[in-house]
Amino acid sequence: MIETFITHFQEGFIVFLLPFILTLITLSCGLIVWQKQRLKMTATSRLKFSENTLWLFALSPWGAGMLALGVVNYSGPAHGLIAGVIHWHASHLSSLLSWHSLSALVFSIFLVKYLLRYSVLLIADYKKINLLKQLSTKDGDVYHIESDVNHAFCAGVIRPHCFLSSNLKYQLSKKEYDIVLRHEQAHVDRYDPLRKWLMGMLTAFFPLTVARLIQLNMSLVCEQAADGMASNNNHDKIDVAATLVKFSKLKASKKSSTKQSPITSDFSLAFDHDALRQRVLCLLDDKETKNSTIPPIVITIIVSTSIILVDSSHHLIDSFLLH
Amino acid sequence: MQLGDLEKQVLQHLWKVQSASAKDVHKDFATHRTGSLNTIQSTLDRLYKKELLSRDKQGHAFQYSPKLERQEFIAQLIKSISNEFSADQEHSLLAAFSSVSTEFGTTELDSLEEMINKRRRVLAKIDNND
Repeated sequence: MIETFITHFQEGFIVFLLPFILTLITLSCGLIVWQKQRLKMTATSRLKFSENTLWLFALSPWGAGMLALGVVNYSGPAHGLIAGVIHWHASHLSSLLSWHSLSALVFSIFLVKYLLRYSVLLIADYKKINLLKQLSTKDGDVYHIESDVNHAFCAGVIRPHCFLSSNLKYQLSKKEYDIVLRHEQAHVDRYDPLRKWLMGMLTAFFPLTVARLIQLNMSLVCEQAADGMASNNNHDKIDVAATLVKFSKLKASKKSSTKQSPITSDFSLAFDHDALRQRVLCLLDDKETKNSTIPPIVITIIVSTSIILVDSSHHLIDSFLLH
Repeated sequence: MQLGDLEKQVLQHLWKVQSASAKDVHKDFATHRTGSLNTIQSTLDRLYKKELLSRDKQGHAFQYSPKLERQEFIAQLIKSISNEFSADQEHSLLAAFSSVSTEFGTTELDSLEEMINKRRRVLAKIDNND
């Protein structure tokens, strides 16, 4: 009885895992090639990912796994056209010492590890932001931080809040200060820290470079969305761009009072410089940027192929390893 | 890390006076709030255990001082919030108006500023023609 349950459980895991890994590998390779091509282009001609495409990227491996599991479980062992292609007839042959068991075990360990990591992160974030709130002065919905360094950010995964350095009021004009406030309020309204947290969790199984690429693009998308929400017309957009550059100039002129060196990799440094440029260019551009339909189509093809190949890939691995 | 109301007040006080014993803090606090010397002593001890204060034994009493200056402490707190999620601060759980960590070159920022001014001039011209 217990053995039957474990066998079914591990088989379910394998049906989920094979398309999950196939989609993950194919998407990762595609994204690395795309990034290499992208860096050769100028900032304006680069293909931009929409937020929906990024979510599609992150959710695809999980979606492929779940869909394969659904198709195999609900279409019966060998009935119908779909079941004919995506059939699964290995459950009665399975052994607890097979690669199926080992893969299911390793994947479960990683899954639990990541779930724990992101839960701990959520608690740590909550505690640190609470402490920051205690050391700040509340004025309406905004927390003012007494600091020489210019800060303007939104933080808090579950309950986001705006934090601004108190001296920003004196360094920016009323209009500029209002733009910064509207921008941060947009992050609060959009629950951007929560979006980033979810994106981080979903991309945890991607190779590090690919995960970082998706996450950095997500940060850029969030900033651009908040820039857009902080501006209502073309004049406003230019003001937002000007405020962004002025704020960056203020930050550049005032070095952090901490002796600690900033922990930023060359990769994110390069991306960040590019991201600032892209944000400004996007704000100065009148034309509405159209999102490319190519990535969603490519992703759909990759996911479908991974699901169709579930049994063939299983047989291919079986020819090398013990079933 | 969570700070109680008294802990927060004691820490703020020590940031102001730099160094004090439990007796000194109690004396300074006596004018505007009630609380026994024992309460102040245990509050200082809790802050020390939370690694927010350092202490030196002078005679029979401990002399407490903040481990970090207020601004430095806040800067480190913000940095730790932005670091906790990823080694890349740019994908931290913070959504910052401009990068938390990256300092941009003046030439780069000047060229962006020039582009903005150019666009302003073009828009002004269009408005005048209308």
